[in-house]
Amino acid sequence: MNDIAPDVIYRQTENALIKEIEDELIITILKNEGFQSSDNLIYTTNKTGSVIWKRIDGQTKLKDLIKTLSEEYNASADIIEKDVTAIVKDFLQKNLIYPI
Amino acid sequence: MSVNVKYYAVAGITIQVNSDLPITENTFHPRFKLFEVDGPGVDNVVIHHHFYLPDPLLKNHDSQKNEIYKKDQWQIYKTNDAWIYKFHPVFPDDPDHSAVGIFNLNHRHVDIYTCDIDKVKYANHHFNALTLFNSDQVLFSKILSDRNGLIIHSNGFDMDGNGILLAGRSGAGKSTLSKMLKADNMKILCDDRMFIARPGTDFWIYGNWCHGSVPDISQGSAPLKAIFFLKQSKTNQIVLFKDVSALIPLLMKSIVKPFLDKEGWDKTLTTIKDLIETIPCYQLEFDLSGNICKNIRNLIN
Repeated sequence: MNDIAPDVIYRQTENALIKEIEDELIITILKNEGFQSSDNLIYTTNKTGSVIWKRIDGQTKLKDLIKTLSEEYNASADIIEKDVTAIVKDFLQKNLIYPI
Repeated sequence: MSVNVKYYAVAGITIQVNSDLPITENTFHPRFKLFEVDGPGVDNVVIHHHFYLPDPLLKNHDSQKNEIYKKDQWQIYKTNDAWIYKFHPVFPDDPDHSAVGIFNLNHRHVDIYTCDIDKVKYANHHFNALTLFNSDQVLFSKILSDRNGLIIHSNGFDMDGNGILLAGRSGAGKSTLSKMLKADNMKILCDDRMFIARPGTDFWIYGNWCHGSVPDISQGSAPLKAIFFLKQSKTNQIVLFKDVSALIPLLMKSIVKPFLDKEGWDKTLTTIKDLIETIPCYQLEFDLSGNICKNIRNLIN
């Protein structure tokens, strides 16, 4: 899983404001107690990103998230792991999630 | 003739400007005449111009104020009962004076303070903004957000009573297509930042005084029928965005990002969601023949 450890639990940032539009998410990061945002603090996810974002709950280990999604979507764990890893990396890079 | 109060209306909102100095015909840029009205309306905002430094007022706010933004021309603070905007010119296009604005929480009452403007300058300067800042964007971002509205970087047109917006990154061809549409007798509302609001069930677009390179603006408005995101091309083509994944980033890049609290941002994102779900958005490719104007007319009519 490259540099993303399977036993790590991730939580969403507390500064995110979420709006769902047709299975996609707009994630707006509000800095300075919520009074400032800008282009580089507004993100959009596709449907896959939206599903993974909702499952990052501060309680579930990454490996368990992959297992659950693999079962729910009837897809191989390898494929799911590849998607999840890429999206989790992206979320981490944008400071949308943090490891606990 | 000079007075100490004037009224201007845009997007169904009347701005009452009170001043400690006489307001003349030349105090504000001539384009404001398009928006001048005789008196207050149903939905009113009051701006009061003062010509001294507000130190005592600011000191009263000091103990509780939080700096929320500091960049370029702006220092912005929020207290329990007000927003404080400190403007200081930085860029060549900025007005040559500093000013401080104290806005109440819903921005319906605004006090502007400056000691850089005397009576002669105030009478003749052709200010570009009623707030005396470099623009009135900080005011309208908030008051439109509270009215299911927002500001979008775009050119707006009234096409036989139907409103359309041309959006897209800089260089995408907004000015070029605007010239074509004007030549095709479409009425331009504004060519830089359009106001959108939803006073009832429909979204409307409003001409305003925040114009760009095309000097002819309008105080008109029209129900919004379509948003076009422009793309340079050698062909003429209009394609509906069916997948929001491609549309959302384009739209979010076009929205003027306001300074809002979390509740305000939630309202703005809800407006964006409603906009996407209500108004058809298209990718528009056009060549320089002008034939795209007919395509747009056929689509909207």
